[in-house]
Amino acid sequence: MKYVISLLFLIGSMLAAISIGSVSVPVLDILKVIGSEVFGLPVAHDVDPMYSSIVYDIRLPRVILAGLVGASLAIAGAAFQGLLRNPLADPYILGVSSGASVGAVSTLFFGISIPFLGIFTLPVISISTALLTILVVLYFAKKIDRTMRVETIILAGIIFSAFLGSVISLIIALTGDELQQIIGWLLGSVSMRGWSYVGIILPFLVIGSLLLLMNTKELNAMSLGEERAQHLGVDVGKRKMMILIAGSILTGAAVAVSGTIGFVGLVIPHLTRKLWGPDHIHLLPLSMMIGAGFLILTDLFSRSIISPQVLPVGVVTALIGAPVFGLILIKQRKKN
Amino acid sequence: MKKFLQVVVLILLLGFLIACSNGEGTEEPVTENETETEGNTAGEEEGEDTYPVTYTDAAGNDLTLEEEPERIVSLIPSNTEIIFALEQGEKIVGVTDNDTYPEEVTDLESVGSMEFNVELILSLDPDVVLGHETGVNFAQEAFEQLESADVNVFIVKDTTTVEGTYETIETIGEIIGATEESEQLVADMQAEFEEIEEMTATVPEEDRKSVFYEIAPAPDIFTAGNNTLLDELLQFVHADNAAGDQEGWPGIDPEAIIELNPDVIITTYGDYVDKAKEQVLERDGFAEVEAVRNERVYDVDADTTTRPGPRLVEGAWEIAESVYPELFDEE
Repeated sequence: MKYVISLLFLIGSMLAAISIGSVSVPVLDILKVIGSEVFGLPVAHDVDPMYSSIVYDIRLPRVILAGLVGASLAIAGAAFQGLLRNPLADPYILGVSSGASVGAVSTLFFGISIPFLGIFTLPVISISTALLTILVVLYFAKKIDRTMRVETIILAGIIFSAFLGSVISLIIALTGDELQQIIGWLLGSVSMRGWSYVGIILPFLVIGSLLLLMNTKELNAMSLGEERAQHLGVDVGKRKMMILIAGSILTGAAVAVSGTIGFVGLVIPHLTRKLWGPDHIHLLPLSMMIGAGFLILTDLFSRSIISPQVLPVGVVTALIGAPVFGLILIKQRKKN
Repeated sequence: MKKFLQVVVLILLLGFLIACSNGEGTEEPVTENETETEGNTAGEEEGEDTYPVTYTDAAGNDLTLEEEPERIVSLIPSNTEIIFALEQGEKIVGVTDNDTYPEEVTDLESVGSMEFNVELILSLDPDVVLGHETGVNFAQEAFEQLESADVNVFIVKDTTTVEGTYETIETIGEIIGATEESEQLVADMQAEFEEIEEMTATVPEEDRKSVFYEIAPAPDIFTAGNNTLLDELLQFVHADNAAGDQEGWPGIDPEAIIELNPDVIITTYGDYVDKAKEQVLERDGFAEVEAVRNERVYDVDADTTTRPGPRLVEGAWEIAESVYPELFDEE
């Protein structure tokens, strides 16, 4: 049942987001365009070419990208919160997003463009710096504390976040012309990324979420405490590493394609847990669907509320998300 | 850290974005109080420079100059350009990092950018500091410090019109003792703008073009709406601003651009983005847009088209030639 609700929520938000925009496109036309462009069906194409390029080239990739980013952040957040047994943990806690941001911001600042990569220079560099950051953070944590206790990992993450954060501030302080691009990127957006960005994040999402979904039972055990998990026969060290890396890959890829979109990774897992319980076997996939639907809807909101102007989706997520989450908390309290 | 950064970034966005969105030029409107009182309150003869004079600036402060200023600090590129155009460039002792024109400015001492170093300005011992209304929002305290150090500060009123630019030129001319030169400069500009208007007026109504400005590249496209110099220049060249129903400098949904379907797209970020024209032409989903289908995408200089100064004429010519190249072929 909970899966049906989540799936309906996801599909509903996708259809709404594809149909609504500066130009409203009827659902039937959307299906025609998707049918002919995506699946190559011989659908009678009487749809205005302007509509079909809006739907296929702009809106569809945007909606799908928002969904993938939302799913990545939500599942990574759910896994980190379980693993670190910390309700304040979010996908950015290990400094991965700061790492990815430094990569992206430097790319914009120095106007780096690697031959053959072209416009993909930014996401590629950003993912690389994100991965590098995880490795350094984990290495650093291990240096301090061989058993890598949860507190140590969080502390290492905070140190690196703070350091990389100030590197970003430094670049912002020094920047001139590129300021707006940098700020636009940092605020987070899924606008005008096109299909290629969908292709960039998809493999990371598949690998990362499969790794996490393979570890749901272990996450359940570890949320009871690492010692208990060890007694239950979980190879804590190995599993922990696996979850940390998988979550970081997801986060790094999400930040690389869309910038730092806050709130989704922190609150969607909480919300899902409040609605359907803390069992990671269900929590992780449900968080993915809810996260995807949520980001699709907030992106829709961000581009339609003052259309044709757009708001940065990273601003809107918390703007809508926080009150919604607050309401759910209060409702839950009343029920109990 | 992240939260903090986002807040900082948001504040920066709301402020700087608007002012800095045109590359080096930072003289664009933040406030729109068009009717702000400004101008001289001292009676003086036309075309004559008499001192002492008292002026009220855009911030409402009175400035009294006992004699013609010999040492000027200019805090915004448009002021600098005006002073040089009035052939008083040698009086400038300090500029900002944003100054790029004329070439000589790069040899001058820089006192900062939108935020400036008050101590450095004091050390230059200026007779007058020419600030700008848009800059006041970013450096309120610094301006107060200058005032309290008894430095003569004059805040030039912000403008989004050609007419306002004339007024600015005349005001600055009077302050720095170049009234005659400023009147001449304005007359020259007026003549050229008239020429542009007359020339583009010959375009038949059915050939009138709609133009979309891109002042920041994809993915986050920003445009110039109503109440901007860029918009005003389009009126002079008898073209329509596709985003003319928007106010100021809005970020715009790419879908909306496709729907607006402009005849011409003009970018202003070619100086810091590689292949500005190509990235518009190759943009996903834009193939059906008139401007892209007919390869009517141009990049113009951001400084000449957005700085309210003497080179606005050059900017207007550049835009006219981009929108109606056929008028220029015949010559």
